[in-house]
Amino acid sequence: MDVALSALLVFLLAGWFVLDGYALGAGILLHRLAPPGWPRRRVLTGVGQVVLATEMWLVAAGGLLAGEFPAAEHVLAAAYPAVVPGLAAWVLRDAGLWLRGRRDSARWRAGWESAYAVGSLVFAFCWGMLLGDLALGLPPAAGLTDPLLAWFPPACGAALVLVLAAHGAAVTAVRVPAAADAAVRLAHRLTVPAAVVTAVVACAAPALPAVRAHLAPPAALVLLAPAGLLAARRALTTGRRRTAVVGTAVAAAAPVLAVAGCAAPTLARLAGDSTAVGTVLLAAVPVVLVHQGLLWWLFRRPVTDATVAFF
Amino acid sequence: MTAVDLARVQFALTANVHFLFVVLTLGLTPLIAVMQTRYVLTGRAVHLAMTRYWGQLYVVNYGLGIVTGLVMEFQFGLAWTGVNRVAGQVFGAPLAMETMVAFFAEATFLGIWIFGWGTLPKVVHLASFYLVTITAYASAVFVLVANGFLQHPVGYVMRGGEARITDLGALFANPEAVGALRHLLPAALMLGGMVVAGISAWHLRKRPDDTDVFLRSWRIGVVVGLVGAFLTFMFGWAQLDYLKLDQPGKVDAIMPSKGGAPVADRPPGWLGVPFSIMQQFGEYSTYLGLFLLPFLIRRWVVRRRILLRVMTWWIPLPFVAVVCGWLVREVGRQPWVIYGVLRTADATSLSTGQVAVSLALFGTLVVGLAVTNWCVLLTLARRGPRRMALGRTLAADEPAPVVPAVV
Repeated sequence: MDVALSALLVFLLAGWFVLDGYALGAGILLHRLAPPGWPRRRVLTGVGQVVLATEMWLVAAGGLLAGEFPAAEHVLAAAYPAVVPGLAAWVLRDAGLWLRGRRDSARWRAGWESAYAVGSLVFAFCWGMLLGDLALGLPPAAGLTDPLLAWFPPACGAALVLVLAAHGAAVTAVRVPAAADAAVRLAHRLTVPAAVVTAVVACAAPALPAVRAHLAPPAALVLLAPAGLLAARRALTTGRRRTAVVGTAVAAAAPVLAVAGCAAPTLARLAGDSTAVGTVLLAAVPVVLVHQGLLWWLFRRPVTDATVAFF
Repeated sequence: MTAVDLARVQFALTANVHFLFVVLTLGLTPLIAVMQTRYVLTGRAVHLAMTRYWGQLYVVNYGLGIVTGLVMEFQFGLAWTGVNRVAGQVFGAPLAMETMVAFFAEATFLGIWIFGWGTLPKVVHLASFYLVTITAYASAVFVLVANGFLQHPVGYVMRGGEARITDLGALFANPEAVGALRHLLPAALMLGGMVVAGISAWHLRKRPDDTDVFLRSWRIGVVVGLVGAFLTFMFGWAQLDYLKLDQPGKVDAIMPSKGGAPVADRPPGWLGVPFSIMQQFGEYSTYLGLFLLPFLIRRWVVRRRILLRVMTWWIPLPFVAVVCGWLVREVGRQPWVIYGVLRTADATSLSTGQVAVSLALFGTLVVGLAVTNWCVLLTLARRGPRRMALGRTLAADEPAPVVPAVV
């Protein structure tokens, strides 16, 4: 059961990166995907339909962490410099999306759109920092005070921002026809720098002794990120937008799979020992998959005139 | 101030803001479910207007419940590491179930409800809201089970300095959880009913055009508010029976015993004030509700302008009462974070500087967003059912594209 619960935690995190990574990426690129006003609202409607469900993957991962891996929850306090701004950015992103459409004023909308964009950017960056921090084995102050390590978490943050931006653009290209041209162009342009930065960070990481100390075979999964991005670029060149989404989705999930994969044996050791609680949580998984599948199936069609908007 | 004091201020602030939004969410969901059911059964426009009008207020209110909930969820791991160290497996279990079993589904079906207007078959759309309602109440159950454990730890055993679950059933049947649910769920309905009745009263005074929508809403609000107030009052007193045994300090602080032996672990004496505010509010609400009963007949209330005005000004009072209830329950647990197991002073690990930074950041963010959201709710509430945010297609808002004339 401890293995199944650890796998569930990794699955929820990877699912969050793929699904909510779209909302984050679209937020990071919001101002470039569509001009202000109605076109931008279409991009936000594409996100809005699913965002309530996508962010729950991380909420559920947090709940699972609290309930089944309380001993691992010290990660949050240990990685304070990444977690606190990240959490604040998450709040800001949600508030931006939620409040943006609530008043008929261009300034109001522009303000909350910026909140959504900045929130998404900082949130993605902080997640990259957190992953880098975990790869370093949680040094004090996230390694930012150590001159040898200080570059690493921010580099991971920058890499993740690029990866999720490319992913957001690729999904927007499929979901929002009104912004598809701009989205394809952005995705196409971003895949190479994102692939280069992730590849450089991934290859430079083992040079750090702190990273080497925690290295395990799953770390190689991070190389799926540049591979997925380059595959996405090829698919976009030949006009296969849905295939491109598969590529960027793999890239979005790869970093967390690598880091959490290395930590999996530790996680399994820390898992809670109540069979009853574990059974309830695991039994919920098929239910979750059904309602998540239902939502995506209902909102599978691209955003058109007839789409209901709220944000 | 020490790190513990600052962490407590941050917790109290975020928990109360979260609570204010969540209680309204819980109070409104069943009312909207009833309104939408009537619309699906009768197909009448007035029920649709009611569903959409109260539904949009509900959804806007919901957003702040989510974001403050995020801060709440991760705050335990960030600041209250002692709770995780000592009882993480027990306290965290109902919270993990809450996210996996209830909240995950609730948010998903709410997404389906908001964006499925007009495109889903009516019955399916209604079913999605029923699921939102059920899972919202399931969430409340899980959260109060976790809270009940802090108030009165049961169903566990200490092994190697760590609490382990031995009896999940006992954890859920904890009198501190069941009793609190019986008090809080009617309180949420009371608050929802009073908000609906108060806003409807405003519209009945100002907008004679929408009397049908708001007279119906007003009636539902009054009935639910009265029944909720009565049950809240009754089950509130019922809690004292076991509190006298489980937390004698709390009972002594809210109702000081004369000449008795001093009670150990007594929380601050000012708790008597919020307790008395809450208790008197419950009493007066019941009287007001009973007084309003005859006005449910026909349109008797429509011209009673003073009465309507009182009802609108009544809206903030249930919010004050629930915050008082929170204070009595949570401050009344002090000096323990897990009653009899872990003292609050031993439950945090962050440095004072770190807590101060996070308090400044989350305090500003949460209070700022709450005030903004209340302003938005006020605007939406006053706008009435003419121009509604819920269930609009993109084409309904966007200007029609200019088609060049064919010559």
